[in-house]
Order: sequence, then C-alpha cells, then structure tokens
Amino acid sequence: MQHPIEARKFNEDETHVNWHDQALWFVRQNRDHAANKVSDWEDLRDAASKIKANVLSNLDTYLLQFEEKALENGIAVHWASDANEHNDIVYSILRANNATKLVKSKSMLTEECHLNSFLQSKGIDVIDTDLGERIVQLANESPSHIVMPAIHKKREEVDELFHQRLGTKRSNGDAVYLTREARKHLRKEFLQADASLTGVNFAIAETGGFVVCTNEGNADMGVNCTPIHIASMGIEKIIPKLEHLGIFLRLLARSGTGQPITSYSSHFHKPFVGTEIHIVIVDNGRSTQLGRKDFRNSLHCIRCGACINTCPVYRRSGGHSYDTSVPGPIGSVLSPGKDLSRYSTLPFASTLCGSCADVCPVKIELHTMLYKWRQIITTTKKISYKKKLAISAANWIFTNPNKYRTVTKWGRRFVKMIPEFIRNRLTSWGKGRDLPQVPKQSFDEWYRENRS
Amino acid sequence: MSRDTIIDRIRANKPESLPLQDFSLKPNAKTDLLQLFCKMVEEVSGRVTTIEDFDISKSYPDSKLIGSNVDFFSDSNVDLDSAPLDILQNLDVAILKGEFGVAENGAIWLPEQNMGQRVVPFITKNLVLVVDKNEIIATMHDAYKTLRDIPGYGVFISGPSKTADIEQTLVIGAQGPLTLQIVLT
Repeated sequence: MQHPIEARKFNEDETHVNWHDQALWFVRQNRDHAANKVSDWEDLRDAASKIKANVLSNLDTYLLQFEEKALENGIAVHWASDANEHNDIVYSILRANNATKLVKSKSMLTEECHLNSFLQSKGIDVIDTDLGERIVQLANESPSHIVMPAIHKKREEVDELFHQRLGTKRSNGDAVYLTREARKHLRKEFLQADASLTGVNFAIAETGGFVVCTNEGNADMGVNCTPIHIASMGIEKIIPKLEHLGIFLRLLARSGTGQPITSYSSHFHKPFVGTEIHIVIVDNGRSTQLGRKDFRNSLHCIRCGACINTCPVYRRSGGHSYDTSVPGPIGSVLSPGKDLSRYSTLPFASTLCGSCADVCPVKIELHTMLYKWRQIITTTKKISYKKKLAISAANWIFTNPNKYRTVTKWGRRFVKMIPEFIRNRLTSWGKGRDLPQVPKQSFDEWYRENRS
Repeated sequence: MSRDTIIDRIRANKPESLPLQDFSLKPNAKTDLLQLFCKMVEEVSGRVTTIEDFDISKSYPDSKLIGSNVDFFSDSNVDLDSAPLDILQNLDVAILKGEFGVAENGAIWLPEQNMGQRVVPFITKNLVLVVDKNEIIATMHDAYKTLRDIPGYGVFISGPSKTADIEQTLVIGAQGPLTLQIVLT
C-alpha cells in the first residue's frame, strides 16, 4: 500500500477534507486549552516519560509482578506471543464458557490482531459497543482514528447507515436522535451478551489491577452485564504503582480530547463473585521494538491520539490512508517495525514539523523516529527513481556553495518562464500548488549589495 | 510457553535500567476546592445541588423506578443490592454515595460497595452521587493518596456518559446514564 495513493482518494472530496482538517484541529486546540489550565503540565509529561522509561528497562520484572498480584486477586492471566495466539486464547475462553455473543469496548490491540473477523469466522457474534466503532462495524469499515473511530463519516452517511442497518427513521443526520437509537440497540446487545472484552489503558504492577477509560460507559455496561470479562493488553501498558495513575490520568484525556478526564475511569482488581476476569498479555512485535534503540521509546505510547489530531498530513489524508490499526505519526513509527515493505511510505507521510512530539504526553520524539525510519528505508529498500534523482540533484547542488549560487540564480531567471502547464505537471509538488513569487535577488545577493 | 518466550525476549532486548524517581509535583496554589469542583462538574455536563435543594420529583418528573443506598433518601422502590437485570434495565434513578470529589476534573470516586451491584451506576437512566462537601480534594495525585483500601471494582465518574462520534457533535448521554447530579451534603 502507498500512502500518497490512498491519500489522493481521500482528497477527492475537498470540502470533506477541509471539514476533517478543521474538526481535528479543533480537538488539538481543546488539548491546548486543557493543558494550559494545568500549571505543572510539563512536569507531568516529564514524569510520565521517565516512568515509562523505567518501565521499559524493567519490563520483565513489572510484568511478572503484575501477574503475581493479579493471580492473587483471582484474575486469570494469559500470555500471547503474537496476534494469532491472542485470538486463539480469546476464542478458547469464549468456547469454554459456551459464549456466542461478545460485546467489545475499544481496543486498538484487538484491531491490530484482527480479532473481530477471526471470531466471526468461528461463529461468534461480535458487537463493538463504542458508538464510533459500532458505526464503522455496521459500515464494514475499519476505524480511522484511535479515539474517534468514525471521524471520517459525515452525519448523513451515519443517518443512512442506521436507517439501513438499524431501521431508524431518516433524520437528516440528527446526532442526538441517532445516538439515542444506538443506545436502545446497544442496550439489547449488552443484556443478551454472554461475554465482554475490553482493552486496558493502564495495568498496575504493584496491585495487579488495571484501568479502562471511556466516555460512553460502554465498557462498564458490557463488563457488568456479563459473567466473563476478557481484557487484552499490550506488554507496554504496565505502570509501576497505583499512585502513577495520578500522572497518567491527568495527561490522557486532556491530550486526546481536551477533557479533564474521561467520564469513566474504571479500576478493576477483582472479579465479582461468580464471574471471571481474564487478562491476555500480548507481545506481537513489542519485545522486538524494545530492542531497537532508536525506536523503543515509541513503546511509551498511551494511545491518547494527540499526535494524530495535530498532524497536518493525517488531518488532510484521513486514517484510512495509513492502512494500519493505529494511524498518524505514532502509527508511522510502529508499523514499519512490523512490516517495512508494506509500510515504507508511512515515515514519508510527514513534513517532519514535530508537532506530534510537541503534544505527546509521554514525550516520544516522533519526528526524530520518522526521520530515522526514512534513512533505514532509503538504504535498504528501493525508493522511487524520481525521488532518487531529486535527492542526487539536490545533493549535487547543496554540497558546493558556488554551484548553489549559480543554479539558484539561473533558476530564478528561468523557472518563471516555464509554462504553468508544464511546471505543475513535472512533479507531484505542482499538484494543487503554484510557485510563489520569485524574487529578483537572493538574500545573499541583496546583502552583498547593501550591507557588506 | 509463550510466557517464558516473551519474558526471555524482553530480558534480551530491554535497555539499561533507568531508576524510578520520586515525583514530587508542585503543590497547587490555594484554590477554593469546592468552588472549583462545582465549576468542573458543570463543565463536564453534570449538575450540582445541595441536599437541601435536592428534589427528586422536580429533577426526574417521570421516574418510576428509583433505587437508593443513601441515608437521607428512603423513597426507593428498587433494591439495588439484589434486583435482577431485567428490573435494573428500567431503573430511572440511582442515588449512590460517592466517597470524595476531585476538584480539578469534577470526578467522584465510587467504589463497588457503594454501587449496590456493579452495573447500577451504568444501567440507570439518571445517576445521582451524594458527596460530603468537605471531602473535596485537589487533584488525582491527592485522590490516590486518599484511597485507602482498593476495592475489587471502583470508578472515577466525571459527568454523565457522552459521545461525539457522529461528526464531532457532542451528545450527552451515550451508553451509560443520560444525566449526572451531584448532591452535596
């Protein structure tokens, strides 16, 4: 898959792209308003980053501590090396309990493992209960954002979708009506479900418990209406102590949506009498990423979505252009590690502006990592002939100041003579862009004339 | 066994151990915590009343099924500890005791022993949380210092359930309660 090609499809509807861009930038600004109200925001980010660094350097110890405590509390703990094993474990738990209907709250890990399609192939009815996820599930699409899964969909599309799939009245995209209808529909599912599955926002080594953060209350509805609760977590979701939640819960929602905290931060330590909690601890390439010195800090990620909201490329190309479960800057750092060939265009889907690193609550140097991936991809893989030519030419021009001065002087003279038709076709830079006004002199020339 | 494979791989790949520091974050400037708490509850689309002003028939005029486990309200017709799901699914109002409030985000800590059953605070159409106005603390850091016994299940609840999944339009009331009222005693 190639990001530019997929992005081009998204850009066919310019009005929609503008809406998408503004909607996400609005969320980015909400993040700023929220962060600015917290006087020790930068200290929080610093603390969170250092805690995660400590976690990664002692990950084995913390995971084993977590397991020990969880087992003491009556929580079953399973380990999965990869996606397939995770899916098999989930299925075996369901089968052991004769469960045929599963209600799920948001878990990017299960998207990564393609759990839904696997379970459905085994005859399990899987209902995503987060409204955004339910929308994309009904539409047979994948989520385009980790926090706002259906942000790519217009209200009229949702209206039509619900009319077709849930039998709602046509309402011109009345969000309140559609949400209330979805609530009725999902309530039935919660009450008829046999088992529930959630993600894990934070797993606490000290206590063997874990926290799930939602706004809709769908995770808790699912879990508390069913006797079996399966919680899927990546190995990197561990934090050392309960008190560290103070830091992470103050950062998470503010970064992702601008809320001071999500409506529900649910702390699970023990299953209710007569029910079961199963944790599935998943590796799926994370321990390999741990070994990559340049990229291991990407495992700090708490999946807040802030980098995705701020990224100008994401905002104007949409999550589906990335073809990953987690898109945007963090996705472009994580995915090449899993499949360099398939995701080789993602680190180039960036202006390297660094906005992502600016907003990251756990201080992942995303832009540096994107740049490092580019270097690896350029040296180990074939990049396009055009790109190779352009880079070689630039290299030739920039390495010698005299060549640089000469080439740019003649460039200033002659480029404006090239007809628009040609210069806008020569490179992909010409699509939708024109050259700025070409100045008569370079700054260098002006300076020599006027100031030296 | 996958457990051993994963642990071995982690041991092989993890970086040099970085210490865990004690994080002493700056103490908050003197604020009126109760005032901030009330402001934040409104900001997250909740409502605050005092126990004197609390009027259930005014707040929830059409409610038929009401459950409560707080002392001051005894007009309940649902036993929250034992009612089955098919009764609870029609629960209009649940009045539960919150342990403390967090001023910075309008959240209330609700441990499972105050819920009746774990599903109650979510399945109810309207949720009322009763909190002592002297039990308002500043931030989440203070919250975790305040938490003594960790219950099997406990939730920080901030505002009613909500979603903005349809074209970023905020809708109050999603899969959990449609409203949240905080009653200060």
